[in-house]
Amino acid sequence: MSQDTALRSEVNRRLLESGELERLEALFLDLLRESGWYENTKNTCTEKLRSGGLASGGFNRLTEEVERECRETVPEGVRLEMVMAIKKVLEGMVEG
Amino acid sequence: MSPTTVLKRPQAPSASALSASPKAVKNNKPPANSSVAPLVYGCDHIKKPLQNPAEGNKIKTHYGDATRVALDSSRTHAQACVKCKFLITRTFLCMQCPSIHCPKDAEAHSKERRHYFGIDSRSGHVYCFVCQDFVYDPVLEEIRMEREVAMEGGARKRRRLDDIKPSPEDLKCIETHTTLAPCKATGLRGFLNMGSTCFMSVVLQSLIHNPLVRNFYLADGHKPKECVQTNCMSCAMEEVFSEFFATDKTDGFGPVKLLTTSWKCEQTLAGYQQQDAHEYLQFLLNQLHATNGGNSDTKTEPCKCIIHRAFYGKLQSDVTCEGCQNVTTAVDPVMDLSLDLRKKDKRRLDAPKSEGEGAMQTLQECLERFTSTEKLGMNEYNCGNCSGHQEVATKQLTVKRLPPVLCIQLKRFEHGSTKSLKIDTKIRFPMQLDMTPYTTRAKRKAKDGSTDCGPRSSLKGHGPYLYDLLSVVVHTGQINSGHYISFSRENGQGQKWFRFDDSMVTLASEKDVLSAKAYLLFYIIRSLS
Repeated sequence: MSQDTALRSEVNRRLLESGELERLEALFLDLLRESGWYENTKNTCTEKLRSGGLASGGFNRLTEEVERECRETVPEGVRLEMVMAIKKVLEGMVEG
Repeated sequence: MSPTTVLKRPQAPSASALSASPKAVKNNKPPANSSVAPLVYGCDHIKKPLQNPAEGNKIKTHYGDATRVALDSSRTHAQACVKCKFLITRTFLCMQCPSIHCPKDAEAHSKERRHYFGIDSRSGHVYCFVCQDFVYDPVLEEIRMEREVAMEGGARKRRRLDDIKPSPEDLKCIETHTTLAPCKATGLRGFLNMGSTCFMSVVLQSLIHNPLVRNFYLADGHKPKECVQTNCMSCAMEEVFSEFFATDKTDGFGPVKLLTTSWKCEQTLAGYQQQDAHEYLQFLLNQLHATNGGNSDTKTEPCKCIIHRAFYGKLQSDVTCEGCQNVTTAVDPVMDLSLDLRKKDKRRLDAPKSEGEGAMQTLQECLERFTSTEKLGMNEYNCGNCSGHQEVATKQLTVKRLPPVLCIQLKRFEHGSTKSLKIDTKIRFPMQLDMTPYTTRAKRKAKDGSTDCGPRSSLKGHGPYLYDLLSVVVHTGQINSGHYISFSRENGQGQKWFRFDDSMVTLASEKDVLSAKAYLLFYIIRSLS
């Protein structure tokens, strides 16, 4: 278990230091925008804030609710393409 | 964050929304005694330590240091949680002790140590764990702004949440001194198709929704009454702007004057044939340059006209002789980047189709190819240094100077000697484009052997050069018939997108825009939008 954590943190560190994380994040955001997910989610947030339903919750409550509702709506195509992209990056690391 | 959250926060003073904004408070405060404690705090919890002078000062110093870490994108270690070592998440820097936690551990830390405030490692914003919300404290905001300006050399000031909100006095002043334009005059209007003139309509729409060009014309940049030029394209453009922004008509507008002026200036445009939108854009920009007091010789001295200021960048071309490594450099002004859609090595072998291979091509890939080193043919270059020998040479294009408005043409049309064809592939393009990797500086750095040429890391103080998508021109249908439509952001800076199809203007979603098969792309530099 601890070995697994060590490996994970090593991978994470490399992802971050090589700038790959930033590139993957940018790609993910592009894909989400292209699929319309980003705009839909933004609208969901706006609606929630306007309706006043989370008056006492603030940012934390909003993220929790939105995460629960919108995580599932990420299109399968986007999910697949991201997994492929991440795989490619990780494979590159193993060889390097 | 939507400003409405400010209203809802229970701790916010009960005054009106506007006077509750820190900016308004700051304006009311006499500047002389700025050392006096402010009246408004981010929340009740942060008020307590800030009111205590010793503790307050400690917090302020801590916050200053923390924002420096948070805002410096090259400091990757700010992303690691001290407890679980997990990196890939937003982290909080504690405001009261030097520790970094992931959100979960930060929450635990706040309970355990009673350190209630965390600083978001990506934005530098303050999160209060008691409120469970981000808080915006005027004093701390001030510190963050100072750091941001200091770090970016003052060039790219990020706007504060409250900077855009005018105070009640401002509003009153604006109201009493303004004659309202007709409420429908928002620039959202279509063009009548006057016989295959959609190529013109889309180009005009892209200029109308370009904030730089629009501001120039709406600020009386060109005065038709004082203009004595014949066939003045700028006068025709002025007319379009006043029609769009000063009348309350919403029906399609027929830009007759602009069309006839185009015909008079360029014979080949006359008639009712479909033209290439990119060629028309070049023609129009040239005309607008000439009729707005532009230099006649732009090679020798830089032109100050609106068109050059908005659209022109510089492209550097380096030709390296493989024989003697002699480099010949030339820098040319360009108003757009024309990108090939084909992979270069495939070009000669199989001309017609190379699409559908693997993943969708992206704009960034096209840009990368555009700025990559290319082998020149045997007879394309003669080295002046080792003359006599026919040496192989390589050529590389890089962006020496980026323009405020970046126009990109995706070369969908290929005109061969026998027939022309259209490449109808979808090219993926982003809402935000980082141009840093394609600059001369970044390319040189990459070549000099620095291993990391990531988007931000190696270019401290220079970039990232972020651009936002402004307009998209799309060609549908066949090469010689077909139709042009375009998408533009509302007022060139809003979040809403509109679709322009001749006289039809409709609301569009981000998805509509991003899934279009773009022909021309207009990006605008971030610091202006």
